[in-house]
Amino acid sequence: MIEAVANLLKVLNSETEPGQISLALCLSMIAGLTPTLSPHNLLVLLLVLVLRVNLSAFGLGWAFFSAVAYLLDPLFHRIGLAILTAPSLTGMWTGLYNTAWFRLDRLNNTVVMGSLVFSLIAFIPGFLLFNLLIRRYREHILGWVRKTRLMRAIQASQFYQIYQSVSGWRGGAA
Amino acid sequence: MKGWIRWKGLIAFAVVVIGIVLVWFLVVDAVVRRTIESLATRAVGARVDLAKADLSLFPTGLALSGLAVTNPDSPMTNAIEIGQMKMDLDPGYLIRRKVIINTMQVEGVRFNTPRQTSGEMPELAAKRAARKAATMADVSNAAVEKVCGRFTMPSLTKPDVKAILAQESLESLALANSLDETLKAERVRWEKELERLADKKTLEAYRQRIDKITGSRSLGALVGAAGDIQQLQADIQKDLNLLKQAQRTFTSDFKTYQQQVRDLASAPRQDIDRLMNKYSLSPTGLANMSQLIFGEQLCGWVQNLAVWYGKIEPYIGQVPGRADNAPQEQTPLRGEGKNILFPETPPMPDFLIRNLKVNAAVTAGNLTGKAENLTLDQHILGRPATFAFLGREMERIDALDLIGTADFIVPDNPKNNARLNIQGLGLNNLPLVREGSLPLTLKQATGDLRLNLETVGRVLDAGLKADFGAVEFLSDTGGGQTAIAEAIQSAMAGVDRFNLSADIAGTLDAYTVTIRSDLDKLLKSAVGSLVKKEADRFQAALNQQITQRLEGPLTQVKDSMAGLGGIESELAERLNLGDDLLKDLKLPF
Repeated sequence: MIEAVANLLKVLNSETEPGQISLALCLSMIAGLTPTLSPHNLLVLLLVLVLRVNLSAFGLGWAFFSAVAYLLDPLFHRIGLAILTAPSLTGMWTGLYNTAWFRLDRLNNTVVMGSLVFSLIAFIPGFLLFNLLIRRYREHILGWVRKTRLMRAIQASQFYQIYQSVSGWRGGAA
Repeated sequence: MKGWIRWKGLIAFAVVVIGIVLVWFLVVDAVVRRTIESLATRAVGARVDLAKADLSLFPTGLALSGLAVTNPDSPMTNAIEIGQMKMDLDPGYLIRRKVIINTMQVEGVRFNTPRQTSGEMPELAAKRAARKAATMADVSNAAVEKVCGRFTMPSLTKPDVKAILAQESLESLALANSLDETLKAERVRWEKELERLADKKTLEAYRQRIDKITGSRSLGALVGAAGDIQQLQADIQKDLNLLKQAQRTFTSDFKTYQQQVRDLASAPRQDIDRLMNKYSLSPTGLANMSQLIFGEQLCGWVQNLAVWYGKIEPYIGQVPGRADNAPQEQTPLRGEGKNILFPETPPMPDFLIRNLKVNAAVTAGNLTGKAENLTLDQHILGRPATFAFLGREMERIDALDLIGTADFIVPDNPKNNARLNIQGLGLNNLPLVREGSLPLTLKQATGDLRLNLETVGRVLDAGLKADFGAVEFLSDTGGGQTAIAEAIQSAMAGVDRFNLSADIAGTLDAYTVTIRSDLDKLLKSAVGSLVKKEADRFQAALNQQITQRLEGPLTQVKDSMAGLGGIESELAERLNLGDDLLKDLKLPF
């Protein structure tokens, strides 16, 4: 747990482009909120590996969003049910239902469909929001955090030793 | 943009995918094997072992070797053992999570093979025992009796009339006693009724009033008494009306009782007929001996079929309710959402075996067969299941052909048919009648058998024809048998061939089995006259004893009836008196 928090601080405090961190978090949102073994997560994995996004941020984000997904399942179910049973979309879903990839990805399942639609819709706003938050953190909070007594105490603690040990890691490419 | 692309990531992705595929290849067979073992063990309630599972992708298929299913009732025996099962799966449908098996080959099927270790699963056995309150045999025996009734062989011993009448209640006797009590009660009731009506004393008082009025000779006095005369007439008429009404009611009741007394005379006949059927082998019963001899065995087989069909039918005939094009919801496990089902083109069931080839070793020998369109969702597939099995040079059968169709396309109205031809069927030590009066076993016989069976909905229609030769019946009563039993035994001992035909008609829940055989004619000619003579003697003895027992009660009934006849006379007498009074009471003008 300590190592994970240290990792997060390291990523946020590094020189890594905020966009790379935000994109990693947004992709982890898809992988984390939707069922892990869904085939579309292979595509997410491909994007994560091919695009120069921060892998640590992706890993942390995946763990976080996977935990959050359990809480949001009822919401995803309702979204998925509304979408899949919408009379105006029945024709389209019937056509897609008869395709192999739709069935392979279990997109006729309310939780799968609801979580995928939710994470896709939240992708762009999430990207912009994460970008903004990271920039704000680096501009306003990072300096203040470093000067606090608490941070100094932490710097003298085992926690800081761990932080230091990972601070040599390369950002971005991770 | 260049800074955003990490081309080495492609290699990493390829490594990850290859890693996943490798792991899948390494563990998938073990996972499939364990999954099949686990699910089947839970379903059967006893250990199911699978030696090897091999799932291949190109071509997509599954091969299972060494499948052994423990018999839950006998853990040291395998109910079924299958050497090899090869399945050719349709990959397109597998992606859609449907198991469509294009061809399935089953080799080395054996039944009731011994196990080296016990296949009992204590935790599952306890659950199973709780579910299984009655054994299959119990259910079947009870059901046979319920559907077909008891195939009871009439007693062949010389009946003891006195002993029979001591334990049997006679309907005629009960009827006579009941009627006597009714007549006595009626008499009491009518005597009270007579007290309420105008009696002779009342009518005599009317006479005195008439005499008083008509005693005066003067015309003036008579004219003055006109009012009194009219009043008197009205009073008499009122009483007479009541008497007439009572007479009408009584006459009607009396006729009913007279009819009941007449019916009582024929009541002993019904008692005699009933006791004859129960205790005597009648010539009519003899004409239907084959029903008694083969009925229990045949009905048991049919009932077993009906019970198994009843167990399977709910699974085949179930419809999840997706007749229209509207999306349907499937309730999944908690937290897993719901699967919304849409119409498919073409519609395809979740599980289907298009072609099944079986090579099975049953007790009688090797049986090969094929079946097509095996699925629990025929209403989706739109095609019926067909099957054909062939057996040659089997242990007790020269040749066997079984073909049939199971059509559940319309689940509410399933149509099934099967045709079974067996040539050279050898039967040994087949118990036919277990009752002590004439235990009968078919020691040996060889013959041909043809069975046609058809069900439409719940309606069952089946016909069986069989010809047997080299026949030997065995009957051992253990001595002390009657002349009739001896004659039947002797006649059966001489039988070396017989034919049999059976019609089974009705519904799966209630059907009749009608059996005919040339044995009936044989038995009738062999022991018919003897049976008739014995039956006549028994009937005469019954007649005498019952008539004797009824003599007293019948006399009492007649006495009671005579007592009731006195009421009728009394009513008639009072009415005559009343009519005379009215005639004497007339105005002179």
